[in-house]
Amino acid sequence: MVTWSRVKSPWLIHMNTGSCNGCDIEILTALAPKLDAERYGVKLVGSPRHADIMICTGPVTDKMKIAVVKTYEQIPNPKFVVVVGSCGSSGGIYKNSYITLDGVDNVIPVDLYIPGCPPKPEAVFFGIAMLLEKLSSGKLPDLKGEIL
Amino acid sequence: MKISNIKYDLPIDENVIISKRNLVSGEQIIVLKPKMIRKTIENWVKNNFSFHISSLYVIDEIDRFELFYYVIHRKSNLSFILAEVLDYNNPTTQTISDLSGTIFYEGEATEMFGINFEGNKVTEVFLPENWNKGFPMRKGWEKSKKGDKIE
Ligand code: SF4
Repeated sequence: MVTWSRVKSPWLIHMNTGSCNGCDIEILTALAPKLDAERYGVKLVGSPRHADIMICTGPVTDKMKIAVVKTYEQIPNPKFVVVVGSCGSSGGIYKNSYITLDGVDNVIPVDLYIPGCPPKPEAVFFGIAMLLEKLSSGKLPDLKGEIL
Repeated sequence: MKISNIKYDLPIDENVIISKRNLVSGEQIIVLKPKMIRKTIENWVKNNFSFHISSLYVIDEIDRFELFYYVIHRKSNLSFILAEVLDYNNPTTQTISDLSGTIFYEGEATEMFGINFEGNKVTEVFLPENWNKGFPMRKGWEKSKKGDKIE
């Protein structure tokens, strides 16, 4: 029952961890009417305490590190982290910068990477669909940082 | 982890390598024979190697184009660069947008430099509609005169 409800209404918390805003716009496009991820119950929520999936964009700047960890800790278990964009996956164009931490996985564990600069909304949608498909199998997916 | 370990995880056929050189940052540029990048990446995808293409950039060398794919090795988070040299008069190569998320990178290279990625349909996204003033990032491109209208 819990799995069923989680698959039917995965709520997302979106966190900009230092992105240029390109990926954020693509995430919103995936939720907007053309692709309409909301028809699968996917919904953006304002509080991490209500969320199942954390979507991160950006390479994680020094200042954002504490915020990322605190937000992650506030999400109830089981929780999943999806990284959107090359920056969040590896640092992207900010790789080796003095002020970034070269990817979200250096701060919190990541389940799924959607690389691209920015990835198309279809790719974001596909990533979420893949996560839901694995969730619907009944047991919690062990994605081990799968790359789309 | 050294680059030799990356080679173990992301194998490149020695026969398709033209040259290798190191950047000051320690990253390696591996220049491949024409149209071999797709084959190499196809092989990586087929074998589930963990990598992604972080960025793609082009340099106009006046008599040729150099195309660079910035590859990130996921497990070690180290990077290296795959390169291909393209003929200036007919800069054509194969797309890899169906294998890894490079659809916009290739579209941008097409619009700015006129590089033709066979199979990539994203070719009219970055410049204004009905742009007919050539490829603005090429050396020698003349910007429009004052008062010119973009139709
Ligand atoms: S991956 Fe590209 S679009 Fe996304 S945050 Fe980084 S620079 Fe911006």
